Amino acid sequence: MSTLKQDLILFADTSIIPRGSKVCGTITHTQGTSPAWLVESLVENGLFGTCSINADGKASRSLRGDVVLISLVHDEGFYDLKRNSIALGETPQFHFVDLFTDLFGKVGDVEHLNKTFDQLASQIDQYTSEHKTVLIEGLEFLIGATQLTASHILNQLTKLQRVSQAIFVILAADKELVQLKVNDSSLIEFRMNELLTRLIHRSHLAISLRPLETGKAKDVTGTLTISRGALPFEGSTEVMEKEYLFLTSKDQQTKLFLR
Amino acid sequence: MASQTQSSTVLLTRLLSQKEQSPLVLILDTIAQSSLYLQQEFIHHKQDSTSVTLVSFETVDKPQWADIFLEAQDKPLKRIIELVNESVDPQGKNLVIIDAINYIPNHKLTQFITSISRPNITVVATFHTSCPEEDRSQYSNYPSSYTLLTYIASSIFEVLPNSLDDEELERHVQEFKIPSGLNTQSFVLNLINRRKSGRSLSYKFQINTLTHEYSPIVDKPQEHVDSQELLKDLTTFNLTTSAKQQKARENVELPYLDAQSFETGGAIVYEFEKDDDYDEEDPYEDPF
Repeated sequence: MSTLKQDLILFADTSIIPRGSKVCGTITHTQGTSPAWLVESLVENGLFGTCSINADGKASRSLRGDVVLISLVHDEGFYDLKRNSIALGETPQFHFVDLFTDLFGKVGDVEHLNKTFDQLASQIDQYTSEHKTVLIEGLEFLIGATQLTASHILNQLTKLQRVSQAIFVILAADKELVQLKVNDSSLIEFRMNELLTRLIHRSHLAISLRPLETGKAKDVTGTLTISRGALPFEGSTEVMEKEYLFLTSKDQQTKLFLR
Repeated sequence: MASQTQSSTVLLTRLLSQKEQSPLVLILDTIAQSSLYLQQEFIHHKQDSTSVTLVSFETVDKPQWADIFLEAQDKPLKRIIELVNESVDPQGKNLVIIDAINYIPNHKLTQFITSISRPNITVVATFHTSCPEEDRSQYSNYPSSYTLLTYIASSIFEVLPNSLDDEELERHVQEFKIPSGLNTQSFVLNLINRRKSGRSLSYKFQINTLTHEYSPIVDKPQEHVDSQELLKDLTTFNLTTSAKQQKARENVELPYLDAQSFETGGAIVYEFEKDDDYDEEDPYEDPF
């Protein structure tokens, strides 16, 4: 394995979140390949256009957009949003929406889900910056714990897509959650499979974080695959398809290696 | 053969430009190869006078090519039908594109299709085959949406990625670890066109939507490979048979062939051998 550190790039114009075209991305992960570092990198890139794990991580920064991080599985304290002595979390353009605390009160049924997402969409719409990035994680929790269907959830995502320039949906895709044996819509596997399939049909970009297929390794946490989603871009924006190996060390530092 | 490939391309172009009447065009796609590239070919070939209506279940923003953009998410079916019927031009040609017909409930599919069908409308509907479809139905023998749509569609366009033969690739797609090289502008298309006579034409193409080139793929009949050729030089042993040996082998009469030549079934062929101890007076010893 090469020891050369590689840069995280998602698009052909060497950007992580491109300007000039709307983006919808789906990030899938499994147990053992937490996407926390990727979420933190996307937050940083949405706010400043930089990425700490890249060579340009220490470049001069200026705020360039709002970032809204919505989580159904974590509170704000979970994320390490300090980047090179700048606390991203304290930046006024960063907005954390905690749907984890009082989860079922806010998004437990269709009525509350609609109300919460209508409020969120109108809140995001009021932000004045030209570029708004939305990251939402843990929607699989709604599939597992409530009677909400893929259509209910996707309709809410559409509301957020309308008021933002980039949206990344972060979901667990463990085999046990998505592998279908019987087409019974009451099963979690069925509804998760339905949600993920429909989401990828709406996405320009599909990012997968998976453990190594060959087993555990000391120097590799998992693989990061970047590929095109089913939705093509209307303009010249193009996904840079590639695969990395990544290593998240004990001190929460992540290194990427091109595969 | 040349005329067949030529006519297949002509048929495809006519279908894409709506010159060939096909009231319901069904596009089957997966997360490995999106139908949206093929959808663009319908837009590319359409006549300027054709009005395009997009019935959107998945598309968030109105695309440039759509004359009318109908948001169907969250709307009852009756309202969607009304909106489609209000939006189409009653005199001119219409192209109604449905980005994902999976969102229409199974038991209301036929009602939806028949309610929006007109002689001057071509409905181009995409069905995502990778979306799971539940078995449960109000009527136990009612067909699935896929079966129903493929039965009523006048033309079926199935888009497939160039490289998904590999089992590993397919497994990755099923696990939502989408491999690179999929969802491209170049893909394989399986076309089935049903004529009014009931005859069904089936063709396969390699499509490039960037250059708008369509190359028919003709499946070559499998060439007969001589088994002798395969065995030659395989090992240091001589596994082949000479012409003389082959002729001798063909002349060998296989045992029990006699039994097969009997016209009446169930007969027992028994030939006495020299060591058989047969007592003519014992009735139980009669082998017949």
